[in-house]
Amino acid sequence: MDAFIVSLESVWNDSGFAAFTMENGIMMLVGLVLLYMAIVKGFEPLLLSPIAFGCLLANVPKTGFETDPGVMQVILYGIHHEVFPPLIFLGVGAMTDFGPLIANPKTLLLGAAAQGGVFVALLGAMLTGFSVNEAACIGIIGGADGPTSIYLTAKLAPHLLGAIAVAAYSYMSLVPLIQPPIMKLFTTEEDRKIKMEQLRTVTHFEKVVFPIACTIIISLLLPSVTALVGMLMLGNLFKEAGCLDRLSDTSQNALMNIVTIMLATGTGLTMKAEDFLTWSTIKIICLGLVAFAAGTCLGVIFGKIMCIIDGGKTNPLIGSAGVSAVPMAARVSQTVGQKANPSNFLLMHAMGPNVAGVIGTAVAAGTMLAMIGSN
Amino acid sequence: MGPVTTNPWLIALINMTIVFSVLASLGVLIMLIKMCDPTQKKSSSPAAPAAAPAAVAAAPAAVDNSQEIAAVIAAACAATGCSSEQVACVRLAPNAAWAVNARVDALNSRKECF
Repeated sequence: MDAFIVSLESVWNDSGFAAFTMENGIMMLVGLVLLYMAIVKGFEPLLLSPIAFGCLLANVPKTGFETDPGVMQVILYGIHHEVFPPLIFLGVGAMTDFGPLIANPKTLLLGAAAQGGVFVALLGAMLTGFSVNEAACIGIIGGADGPTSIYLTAKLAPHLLGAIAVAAYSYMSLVPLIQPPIMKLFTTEEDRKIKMEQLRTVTHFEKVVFPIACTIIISLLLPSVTALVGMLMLGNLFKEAGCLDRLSDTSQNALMNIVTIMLATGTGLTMKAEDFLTWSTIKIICLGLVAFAAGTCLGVIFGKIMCIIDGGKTNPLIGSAGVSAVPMAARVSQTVGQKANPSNFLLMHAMGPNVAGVIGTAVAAGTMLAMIGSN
Repeated sequence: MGPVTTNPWLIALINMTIVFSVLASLGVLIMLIKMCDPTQKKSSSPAAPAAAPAAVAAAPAAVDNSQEIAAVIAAACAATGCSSEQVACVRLAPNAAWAVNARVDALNSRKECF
C-alpha cells in the first residue's frame, strides 16, 4: 500500500498540476480566448489558431521545451535566430504583385508616410519608460508587419518577443475594424468618391528587373535587412520570371504554410506567464494600437496632400493601405471607397502603397538596427 | 559601440528621412527601368490598335445574316413557349468544337441528373 501511495505521489509531483500556477491558468485562458476569436469569430484563423495553441503549450509546466532537444526547441530556435521571418517574406514576395506600384510609383510615398506611425509609437514608448531598443521594437508594430516585428524584436529586445508578436498579429487581424473610422475621420465624402484613372500596363521586363534592382539598392544601403528584403524580392522573382513556376508555387503554398505553422506556434510558445503577464505587455498592446492608428492617419493625410497636389486624381483612402498588412489594408481601402461610390474600384490602386509599406517597414527596421542595434 | 543616439525625436527624424529617401529613390529606379525597357516600344507599337478594328469588323459580319438568325430565335422562343420578357439574352455559340461538345455533354448530364 505504501509503495502504491509513493508511486502516486511521484506521478503527482512529476505532473504539470503540481507546478501549475494561477499565472499559467490566466495565460491558458488568454489562449482559449484567442482560439475562440480565431475559430468562432474568424479573426486571422491561420495565424491566431497556432499562436493561441502555442500559448496553451507554453503554459504547461515541466514540458522542458526550452531545455530538452526536440521539435519545440527547433521552432524556438527559428524564432530567436530570425529563421522564419525571411522565409515568410519569401512566400509573401511570391504572392505579391508589384505591378500597381510600378505603374504608379508615386504611391511609394504613401507607403513611406504611413511609417510615421512607427515613430509616433517609438516616441510614446520612450516617454513611458521603455529603453531605446524596446521602443524601436514596439514602434515597428505600427508597420503592421508581423515578420518584421519578430525579426527586429529578436535582435533588439528578445524578452518582449511574445507581447510584440501578439500585438502585431492581433492588430493586423483587426485592420477592418481599426482603419475605417480613422479613414472616414480624415476624409470628406467627396474625397472618398474620387475615382482613380486606370493603371498603365506594366511589362514583363519591368516586373523582372524591379525585384533585382530593388534588392541590390536596399541591401547595399541597409545590409542588416538583406535577409528580409532579399527573400521578399527572391519570392517575387520566382513569380515574375515565368520559368520558375514550381519554385513560385512551393513558396506561395507548401513552404508558406509550413513556415506559418512554425512561426505562429513559436510565437505562442514565447507567451509564457512569467514573461507575458507584466505591465509592459499592457503598455505594448496600447502603444501598438497608437502606432497602428497613427500610421493609418498619416497615410490618409499624405494621400489627401497628394490629392490636392495632383488636382484630385488620387483618392486619399489608398493612403491607409501604406501600413503593410498585405492585402487586407488594400481591401479596406476598396471597401470604404466602394461604400462612398459603388462604381469605385480602388483595390489595385491601394496595392501600390500596400506593397510600398512592406518595403518601407523593412527599411525602417533596417535603419533602426543600424542606428541602435549596436547597443 | 553604443547607439548613435537615444534622442527619440532625432531617431524619428532620421528614420523618416531615410525611409522617404529610399522609397523615393525606388520611384526613380522604377522610372529608369521603364526608360531602359527594350520591350516597351514593342508593346506601344501600333500593332495592338490594329487588332481592334479587325475585331470590330468581325461583328457586322455576324449581323449580316441577322434576318435568318432572328427568325431562328423567334422560332426557338415560340417552340419553348417563352414570352419576350423571359428571354434575358441571346449569345452566339463559341466556334471551338471542343467547347461546344463539352457544353452539350454538360447539358446532357444535367438532364440525367434530374
